[in-house]
Amino acid sequence: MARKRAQNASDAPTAAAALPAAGAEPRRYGPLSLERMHKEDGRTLISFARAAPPGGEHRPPDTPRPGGAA
Amino acid sequence: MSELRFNELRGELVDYAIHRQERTFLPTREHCPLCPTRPGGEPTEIPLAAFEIVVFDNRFPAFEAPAGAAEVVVYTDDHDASFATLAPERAEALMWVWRERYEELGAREDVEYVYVFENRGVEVGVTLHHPHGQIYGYPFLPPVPALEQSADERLGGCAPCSLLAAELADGARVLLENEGAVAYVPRAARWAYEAHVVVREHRPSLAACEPAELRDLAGALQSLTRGYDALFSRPFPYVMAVHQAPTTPGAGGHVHVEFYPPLRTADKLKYLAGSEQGAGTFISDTLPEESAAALREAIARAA
Repeated sequence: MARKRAQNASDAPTAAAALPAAGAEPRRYGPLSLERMHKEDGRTLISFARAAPPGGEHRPPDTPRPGGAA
Repeated sequence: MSELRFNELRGELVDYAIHRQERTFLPTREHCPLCPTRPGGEPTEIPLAAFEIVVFDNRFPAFEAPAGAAEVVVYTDDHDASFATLAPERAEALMWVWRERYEELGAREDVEYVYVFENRGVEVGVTLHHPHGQIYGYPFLPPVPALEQSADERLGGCAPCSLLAAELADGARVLLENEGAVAYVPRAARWAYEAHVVVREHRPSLAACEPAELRDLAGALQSLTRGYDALFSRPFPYVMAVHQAPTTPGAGGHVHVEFYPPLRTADKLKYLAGSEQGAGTFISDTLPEESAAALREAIARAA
């Protein structure tokens, strides 16, 4: 696996961290926090959210773009 | 578990994932499996009352460990949104999600190619309307990225770099530019409104992109998809294909996103018929330069 990890990510601004165990604290990835959990049937689910800014103040919610025809 | 068989005449692998025949097919919005699980409501695939972006193992995988992966990427908990209408911050976050999955799946020994894509619209076979994409981790290098590797060899260097330079020099098919990304209709587009969004700098994958490039890529993708929706004043079906370097040691690549929209007019589909399927040659009813002009106007209208 280490053989592959060197590929294409060597100059990444944020290196990938080792996988946290299921149920571990959310980890940071770039501007995101991610939380890994297992579904009842054993499949993995990862929830990504934009991390709160430093200082812990509340991050404003997303404002979707106006609809267009979509 | 799926089974791979080699098609000798085509020189390609075919994946038999027969369990997918039973997958959920166009459920009503009340039974959408990609919506959040509301308190007291029917459980969905996502056991959260609200979320931003979620990735999970596909319940009906085309590939799975120890021979690949198949994941679902849900862009938002808003059933009625689309990639084009996501808040810009959410679209930028999605680039980081794609990048994180590229790195994690690409590090696996059973994954040789990480392919992020979105099928939008029943015209391209969507079975769930909730805005989402997918990620396949192929246990082999599929034919299309292999052809891109061959193009690098044929052109004596990075093909997307060469093609981007040629498109910028010509200008007739360029749709939009920002600091980090460029969108254009390729000179030899196969689909009437095919477009490619290319990161300007040579970056093998999203993992090699600077944060500002990810933001610019998201902005270019949203501008293009909003233009698509404006083109015929209707939700525009497409296949969105994110091409990155294979994750085998030494493989080259240049991250770019290709769109294959099946519409050739507001109400006519391009079908892959005799020439395309039996001979492998696309017959196009439109000129890329004219499509690019129409798309530029639509993008401006949607801005």
